[in-house]
Amino acid sequence: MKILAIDTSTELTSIALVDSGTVISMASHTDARGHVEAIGALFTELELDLSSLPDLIACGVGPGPYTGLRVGIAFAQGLSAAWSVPVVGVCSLDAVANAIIRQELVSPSDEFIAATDARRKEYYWAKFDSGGKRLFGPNVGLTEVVRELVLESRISLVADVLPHAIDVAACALRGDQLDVTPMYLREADAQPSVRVQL
Amino acid sequence: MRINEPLVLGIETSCDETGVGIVRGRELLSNALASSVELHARFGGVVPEVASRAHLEAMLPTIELACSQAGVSLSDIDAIAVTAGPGLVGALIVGVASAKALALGLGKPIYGVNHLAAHVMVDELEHGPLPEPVIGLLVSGGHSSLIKVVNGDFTSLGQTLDDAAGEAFDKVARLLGLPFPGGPMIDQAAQNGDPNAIDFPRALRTDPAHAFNFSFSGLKTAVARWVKEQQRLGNAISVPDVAASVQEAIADILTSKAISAAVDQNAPHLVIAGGVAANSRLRALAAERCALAGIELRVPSPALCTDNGAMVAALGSHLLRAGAAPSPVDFPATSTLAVSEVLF
Ligand SMILES: [Zn+2]
Repeated sequence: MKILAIDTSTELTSIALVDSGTVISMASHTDARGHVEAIGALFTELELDLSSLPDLIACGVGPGPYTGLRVGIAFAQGLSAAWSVPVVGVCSLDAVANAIIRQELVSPSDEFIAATDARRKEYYWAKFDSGGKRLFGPNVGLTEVVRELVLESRISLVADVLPHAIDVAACALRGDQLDVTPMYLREADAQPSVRVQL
Repeated sequence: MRINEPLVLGIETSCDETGVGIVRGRELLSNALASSVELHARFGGVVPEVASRAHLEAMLPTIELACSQAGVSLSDIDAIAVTAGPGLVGALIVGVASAKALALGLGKPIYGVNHLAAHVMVDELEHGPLPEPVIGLLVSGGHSSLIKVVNGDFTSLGQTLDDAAGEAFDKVARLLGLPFPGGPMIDQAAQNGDPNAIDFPRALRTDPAHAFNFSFSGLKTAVARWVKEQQRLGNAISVPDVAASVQEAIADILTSKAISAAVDQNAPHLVIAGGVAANSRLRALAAERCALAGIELRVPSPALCTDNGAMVAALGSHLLRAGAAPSPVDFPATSTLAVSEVLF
């Protein structure tokens, strides 16, 4: 099972080709605003052989800042159309949880909360069991409130791990798949734009 | 890469229309469109986040529709073209990311192109090779500019200093209680009105420093003031007369400046494009004045005047046939882009 995985739900833009759990190649770039510039270059770094396509495309569908998030999803959908290869979504916090376990950042028997920056002093967060199965969430909430919750329930909070494409691939491989629909968690801003002037 | 009749797929997402068009050389094969305009109507203007979400949802179905209407499959495509700017950056990004994936996935070149230049170049699909030098008058809710094209180079002669022409229509429509988008509503209401009923101002008409620039913000103020004054005097307000008079002022200033640009630049051809080019009075007045001045007028049909994917494909095809090098894989989407920057 060869999976091409992508995540752009944080400042980390990453892409990876993973064959049944073995990373064949991967590339990443950190820039909170440069996803659309990075994605094409990172894809070419994979040096993919277009004559032997992956079986599946997996994409982190957030939650995450919207503009970057949409880059990864649009790119994954575009590849899916170009190759006629199916595409699935993966909750980006599931990928974070996978990375946390992979890097042994929590003790192996504990539940934990994984969080990423949602701006406006908020976290995107979800609660996981020790195996990385999502128990609650994803949610968006004030960092303060999440921290209080963590103190009360005495479970650990990991808020400094970013989702990577190799974790997205792992989640997709074990069947934690979603529709390819962005997890916005907030309503679209109802502010009319200043029109583009030229 | 240089092909005489390349099959080019163009993607447009700079504002609220998700457009995918396919051309072969200068031949239009399909022009699929999904619009989020109805989602914005209750806000009275385009909401960027609403537009960006709608683009992502519409992108794949619109690509599929364009392919099926053209009777081609993606593997037949020779090159991808996409609007890289100017426009709403969050909206542009959806198109650029999708286009990069198609190009890289198919192993084909990509052309990140200028939306304004595409508005002018789309005329090739209906009226054949663009004669040069030619003046382009671009008028829509997002832009009002005068462009000169000579030897394939695009230069800006002037633009609006404040509101775009389409924006002026929207704002006046709102004052008159007509729904968004205002252009078609004003056009319709004006059919039964007297264009000479009220003498609204023509800004920058005689200012030599702004010979080819426009200003429309004063028009809205003038209409508001006039409406208020009539209400104070207890006079009934004729919406058709106001609509016709406003439309006359806008059409007058646009056409007179476009024609003086053509005369000044020795460019005996004028292309009018953008959503406002669908305005019936603008078309009629431009035809009348171009005939008098001996200028050939070319106006693409309405579906090619408003934002669409075929115009992007038309420009991509033009660049490819001219032997232009494709864009690098890391080109950005950018909200501001001068018309002289035709290709990234
Ligand atoms: Zn436009």
